[in-house]
Amino acid sequence: MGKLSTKDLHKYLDGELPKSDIVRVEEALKGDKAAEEELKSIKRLSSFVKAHLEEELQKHPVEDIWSGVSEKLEKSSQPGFVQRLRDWFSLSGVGFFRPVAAAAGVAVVVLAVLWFFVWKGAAPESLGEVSKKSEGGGNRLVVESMDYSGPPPMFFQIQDSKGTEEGTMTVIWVNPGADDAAQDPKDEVEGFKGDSI
Amino acid sequence: MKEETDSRLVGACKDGDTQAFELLVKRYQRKVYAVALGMLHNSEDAKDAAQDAFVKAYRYIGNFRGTSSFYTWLYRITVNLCIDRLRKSSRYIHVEYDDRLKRPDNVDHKGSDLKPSTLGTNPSRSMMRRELKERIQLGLESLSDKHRAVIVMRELQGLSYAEMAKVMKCSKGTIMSRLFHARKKLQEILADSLEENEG
Repeated sequence: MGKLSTKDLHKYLDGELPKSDIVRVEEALKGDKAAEEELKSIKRLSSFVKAHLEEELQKHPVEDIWSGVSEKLEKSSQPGFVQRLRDWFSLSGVGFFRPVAAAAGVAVVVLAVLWFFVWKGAAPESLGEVSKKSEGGGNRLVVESMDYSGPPPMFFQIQDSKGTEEGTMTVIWVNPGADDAAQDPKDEVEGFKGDSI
Repeated sequence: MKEETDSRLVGACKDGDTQAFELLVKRYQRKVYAVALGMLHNSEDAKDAAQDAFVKAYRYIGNFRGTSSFYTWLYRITVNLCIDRLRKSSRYIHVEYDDRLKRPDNVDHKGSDLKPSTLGTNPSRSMMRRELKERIQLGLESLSDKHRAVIVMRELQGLSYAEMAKVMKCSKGTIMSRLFHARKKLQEILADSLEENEG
């Protein structure tokens, strides 16, 4: 193939050459036996492949595709869980209450998360409740108690030196547990509860 | 005229008109199925792939902007689905075209190692035809997915290079190169058959 390339022949065969090139290729083919043979070979190959594919198509003719398509479309139109969730939270045009409910739902979730991580985390579980039993003016004794479920109970005596009310002594009574009634400060400090020293 | 009808139907589909879509399916089902069958070589797989292609087309029809024809867009979906299936399928043997396989032009292809030993001894024409068919099939299966796609679109559907470039989202040059290499490989596989059938 002197003047012609194989790609020229492919384009010629496929009708992809501009008119000017078609004339050039046809002129060149007249004196080029190798190019002519190659063109015949490509033509034959094309006709073989085409015949083979068409034969396959005749052997397995197309059936009704639409019924399968409509079935698949129907199946896919039933929304999955994620889609339903997305639809439910959608703010676009489905009534007034849905967006409000969606916003409320989000707020509840956010508050729950905050409560879990911030509020609950900041308050140690073992601290319990502190209740002020008695207090008075001047030099006084303040008795407080709290429920405690940790290590053995301890008795604290704190001399308040920094407080505004100088000379006040605070007694913190620590209960070992709700079932230990003997530790109830009500019983133990009944005599001087609320009395000033 | 037909293009206008297609675009009208596509417009109706965008508005949720399934009857319009049914018309489009019936119009193109044969072509879509033919491409799928040519690529997958299995009628059940081809039917399933064709259905999937239409389902996908319906779902994404809102994205179709009409810059290309509807059937080009539909072919793209079909070819991509078939390529995905071929890649997932264990039956598919991926053989990329290797330039080392290319024979020098001065080598005589007669006496090729691809020539079956029985071909010369079997006088039956139908037997030869069957053998030729098997070799064409083998040749097509040995092509890479993209090479197979261009051969099917060109030889069966007669798509132009420009149309195939749109379908496969590549340049015309790439299409030409794929077609050239695919044919070259098939020519090598069918060399003796192509010569024997001469005249």
